[in-house]
Amino acid sequence: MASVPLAPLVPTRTVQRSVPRRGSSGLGRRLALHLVLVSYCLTNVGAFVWCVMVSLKTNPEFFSTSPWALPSSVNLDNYASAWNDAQIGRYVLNSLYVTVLSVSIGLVLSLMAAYVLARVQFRGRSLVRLVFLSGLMMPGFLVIVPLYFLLRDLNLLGSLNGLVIVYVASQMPFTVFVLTSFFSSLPKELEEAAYIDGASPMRTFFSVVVPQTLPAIASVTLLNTLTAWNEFFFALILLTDEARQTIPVGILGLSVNAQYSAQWVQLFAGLVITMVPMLIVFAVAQDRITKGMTAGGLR
Amino acid sequence: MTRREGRVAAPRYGIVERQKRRLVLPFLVPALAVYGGFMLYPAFTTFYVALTDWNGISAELPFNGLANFRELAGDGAFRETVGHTLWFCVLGALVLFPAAIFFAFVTHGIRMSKLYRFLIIAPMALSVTTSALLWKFALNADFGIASKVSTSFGGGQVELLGNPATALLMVVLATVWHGIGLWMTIFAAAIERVPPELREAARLDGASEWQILTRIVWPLIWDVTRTLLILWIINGLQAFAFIVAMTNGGPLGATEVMGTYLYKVAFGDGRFGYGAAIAVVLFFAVLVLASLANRLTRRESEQY
Repeated sequence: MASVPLAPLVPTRTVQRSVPRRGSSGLGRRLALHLVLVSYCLTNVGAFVWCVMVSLKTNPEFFSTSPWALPSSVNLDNYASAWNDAQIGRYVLNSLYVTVLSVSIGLVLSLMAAYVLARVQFRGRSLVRLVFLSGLMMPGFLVIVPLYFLLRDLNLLGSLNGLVIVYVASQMPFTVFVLTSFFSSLPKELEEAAYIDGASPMRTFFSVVVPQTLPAIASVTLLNTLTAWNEFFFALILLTDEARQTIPVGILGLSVNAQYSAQWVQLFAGLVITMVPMLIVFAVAQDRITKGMTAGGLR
Repeated sequence: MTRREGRVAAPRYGIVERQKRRLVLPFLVPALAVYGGFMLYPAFTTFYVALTDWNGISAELPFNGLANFRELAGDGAFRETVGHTLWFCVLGALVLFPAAIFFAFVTHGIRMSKLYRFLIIAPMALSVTTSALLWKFALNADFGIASKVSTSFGGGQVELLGNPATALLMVVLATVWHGIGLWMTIFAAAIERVPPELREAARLDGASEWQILTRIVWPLIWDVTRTLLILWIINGLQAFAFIVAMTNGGPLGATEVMGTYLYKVAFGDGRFGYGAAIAVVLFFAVLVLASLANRLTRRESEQY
């Protein structure tokens, strides 16, 4: 695996077109390609608009008209009902709790480990690196059976805190991997100057090294947030308590229930509630996210 | 390399090194403890559980050697899931790679490139269950898009997700739609590294966009393609979420893959030993196929 090349962390230049396009057939083909691109993108917009549309309908309206028809009036009650009655509010809070805790704890632990792995010589360093790296290829399936019983024995099965620990552990190989390569690419001078000026290793780490790492921290934090927020496999198996579920599993339950209770419009209001925060994060931090994706190509 | 740095540096460096070495234990132990305790330890334990007939209740794990693996070899349902899993990987690669390269290439250097890319990446912001639900609506036989189109042309309803022949492909499409942003982004970063002079020169010589893509860009991004292919194999073999959320293995087991089978056998039937054996097979499948792909795709990388 070590020989697999990594995608670059930072894409460099962009192309400026200086030569006019030639040939009408080339132009036609370019137009056709563009048409494919534009219609794909419009479909994605359409999917989102459709969710909003359904969320504004009433249940009788949803069943009596075509699902693709416009809502007859704007009906915001569904949002309140989704948040309270359908428990979307609880799922959102649970997801927030799990995501914030797991990402921040994981970040602190990984930062420390990555710093030592990148910067300090000690015996067994390459072995420890390999141990972390091996986790990149470890399927969740390989750990799930013993993990389930480990959490049960620790009384953490069905608890959000148990899931937090699992997320910290499962995201660590990726986070350590990205941060280690980032630390290795940092110049050593600042750090050494701090040491020579008499700063302790701890002080140097927190006030000199970590501030230089902020771009990488932002990237891994965003990607880990996305992963934790949408994680499904561990959450499905380990959150055995129905009152304590995260958004992805909660929505699965609601969509199964909706087939019997016929409360589709509340479900769609719930979908919109859970979609919007992440979409905003994506829109605001697109560059950071794409950098993180490129850096973590190996995941 | 590292040893030489030590020799070249001033004597003070030795003190710094020794000071930094004091960080090793306090900085490494917390991470290793969590990772070791909740990933490595369960991973290794799985190999032992796979050799038992454990039901999850008994305190003792009844050892039964390789019986689980022998049973797997003769388990027709399991063999079908292996076939579906491989199909999922192949179909997924056939859809994902051309689409991701296409989107990376056409959005490169055009106006509003960022907006287009945002819209392609956006589905990743949705949870898998939300995406799966949207796809179930779009594919619904009564009012889904395909049925609407078909009936408006006088045809009948089109059953895509409930049809064993097409269900797996539909799950693949949903999976690719949801995750394609990641793959496009990495391809786009690679394409952006290709020196613009090369493309300009080819364009001046009269090369078409297609020739530029296949003769110039493609060979230069080959290394990235390999990495992503291996990444896809690792991901594809672990197909799970979309299948649970869209078909739950149906219709008639047509979309049952190794992951969902493991889940049902272990957490549905309480056969944890047997489930662990499936996990072990899955792990080795990932290992073998990923290194096979690595070996088969190795070639001199082009320089620029």
